Amino acid sequence: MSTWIELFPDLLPGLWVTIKLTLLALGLGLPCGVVLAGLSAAPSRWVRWPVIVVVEIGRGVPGLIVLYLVYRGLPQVDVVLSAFLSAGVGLAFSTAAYTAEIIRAGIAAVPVGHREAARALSLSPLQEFRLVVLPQALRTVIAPLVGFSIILYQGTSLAYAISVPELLSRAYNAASITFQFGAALTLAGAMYAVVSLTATALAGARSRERVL
Amino acid sequence: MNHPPQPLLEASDICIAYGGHQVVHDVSLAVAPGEVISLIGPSGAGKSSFLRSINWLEPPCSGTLTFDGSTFRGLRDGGVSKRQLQGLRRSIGMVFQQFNLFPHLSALENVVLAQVHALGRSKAEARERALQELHHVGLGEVTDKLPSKCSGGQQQRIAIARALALDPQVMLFDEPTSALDPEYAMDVLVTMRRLADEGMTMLVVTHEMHFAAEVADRVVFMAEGRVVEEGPAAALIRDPQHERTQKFLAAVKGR
Amino acid sequence: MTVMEHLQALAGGIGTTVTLTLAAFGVGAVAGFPLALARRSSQWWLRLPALAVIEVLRAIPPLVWLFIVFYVIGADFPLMTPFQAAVAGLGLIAAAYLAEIYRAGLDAVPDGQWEAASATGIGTLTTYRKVVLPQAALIVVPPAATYLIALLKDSAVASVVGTTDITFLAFQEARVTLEGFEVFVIAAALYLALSAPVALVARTADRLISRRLGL
Ligand SMILES: Nc1ncnc2c1ncn2[C@@H]1O[C@H](COP(=O)(O)OP(=O)(O)O)[C@@H](O)[C@H]1O
Ligand SMILES: [Mg+2]
Repeated sequence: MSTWIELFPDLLPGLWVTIKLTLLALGLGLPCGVVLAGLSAAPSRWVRWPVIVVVEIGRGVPGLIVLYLVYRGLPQVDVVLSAFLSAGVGLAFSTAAYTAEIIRAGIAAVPVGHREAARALSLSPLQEFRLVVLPQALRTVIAPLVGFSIILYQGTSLAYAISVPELLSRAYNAASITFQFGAALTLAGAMYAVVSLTATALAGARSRERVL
Repeated sequence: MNHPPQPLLEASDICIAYGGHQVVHDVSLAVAPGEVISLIGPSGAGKSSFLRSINWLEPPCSGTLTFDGSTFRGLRDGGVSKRQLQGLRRSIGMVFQQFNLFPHLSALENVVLAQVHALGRSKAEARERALQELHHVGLGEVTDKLPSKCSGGQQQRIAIARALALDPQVMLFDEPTSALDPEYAMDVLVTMRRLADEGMTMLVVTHEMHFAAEVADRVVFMAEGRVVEEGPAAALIRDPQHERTQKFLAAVKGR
Repeated sequence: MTVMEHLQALAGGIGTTVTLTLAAFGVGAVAGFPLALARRSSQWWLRLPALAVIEVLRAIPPLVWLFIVFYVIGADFPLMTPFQAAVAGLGLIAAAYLAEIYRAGLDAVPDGQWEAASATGIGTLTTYRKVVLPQAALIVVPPAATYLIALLKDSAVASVVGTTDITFLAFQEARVTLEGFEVFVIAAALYLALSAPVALVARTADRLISRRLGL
């Protein structure tokens, strides 16, 4: 326990990087996810199908491979990003794909009867979406989105593999110097767990699926 | 009731198909102003499909609908424009079996929504009118409740108020009491009867033979996508002519 | 370097990735079952520890678990290979996720089934074996298959502690050939190809269930 207290100041900056990375990935990825969800309902299949393919790729490829591709693959085509940005962009790609699917499912879950009622009340298609579908979809989507954000927070640990100085890297470095692997790694684990569990409890988000 | 020469609504040779499979064949029906018509028939007869074609929720593949001086043509005969559709739906109210209230809005907001966004009424005016309609269906006390906090009977009456607030000329009801416990169904039937007494033009798909016999002017019996028999309500239910109708009514009454 | 040559370099990792995923899934499938039963128990001294274990396992990133298993617990087992550590680490996480999936499956069997079974006078154990489990087992297939895909993707983290799976070989191939772009695209395609049949199973099972149980 006392070693945990000694190590804590060393790990704290790592926690900050981890949180920044989570927010960056959400900030970049969530808007893209909303757009992709919208496009996946497009009337034209020339729009719909490519979007579905992108989303399925984003959900099907390991996060680690995506990070390597951005950090170690893109420089080959002259896109050179810092490790932090690479991690942010890579995680944002996965975020876009997962949130697109969450939002698409949320929209699809609105009972068709409610859309029909809106139509019978002579609301226009745009009003039907804005006033009836969207408010309901937003409600069903909040819990899975929070659940995803928690998984994303955990997923930032992958950035260790491209040497971003986030929480796990800090713990590993501290351990290599002091040889207190047990204390350093379990403290890091506890720091991940406390944030995850608190967020879960606050949001009441029970339905978390394992992703990334 | 004698048929006045000028129907308010006339459906001619309506055909409806789902994915190439035709389920309603050449159904025609003229509805006079103030007339109450019950559509009865076994499940799968095409009653809902036909009813939903009248406000174009289910666009007919062929046939025409004449309403209030405008003609609406089925998909194969040219279809309708968005403007036309909006006008048609503004004048026709619909009540669903499953109520279909908007769960994120209170009873009052459900009734206000389309008044503001479809008719362009001011919020204050719409609110005023909504309160009035809710009182009218006997629900002055639930205005601020969410639908999920209301009984089925209350929900269905909110749905009726929601439709009435747009001043429809015709009301369509698709088995409005089938999802309700008998005691709640009564409240809804009473509301509908009053609406009929006030002179509303109504088309009601129902399995409530008492309602059909007592409230409706005319009954239309459908089976396998066709009108088999129609006539004055009391007479048709008491003394059906077709064997198919006799069988159906015997089965329903036997229950 | 051609695509074929890269593919050949990575192909050696396919077996490791698949074995690792299936082994961890197997560990989770077995260990998850008692965990699910404990989690549903009416006894608090069974329910609460099970809840704690499940929640903690799900709240810590897989890579961190792997490090803890490999560097901390592994310190007492010097002969433990990275592969074994990965099976243990991912298997534990799988147990937590699969326990929740089992629990949902058991919960989905309507109470009426319990009542109907006890009304016939068969015991609790028989009810479980003959009535509840067969129904729950079917319900569990689609989410379990979905989780198997998630686990396949998670298995990539094992490369970080030195398991020579697809990702590990891709990393090396990229470093040696300096053609990271092609190499990681090929690796991504390999993972997608491996998950495709599982996704198909999940989809088919889903359709079968909605038809059979009307759920
Ligand atoms: N959305 C739909 N898609 C495909 N078939 C439908 C749809 N709605 C109704 N049907 C079919 O059309 C026929 C008539 O249905 P419906 O109009 O609901 O009859 P009713 O209301 O008299 O029970 C039935 O065979 C039904 O299965
Ligand atoms: Mg019907």
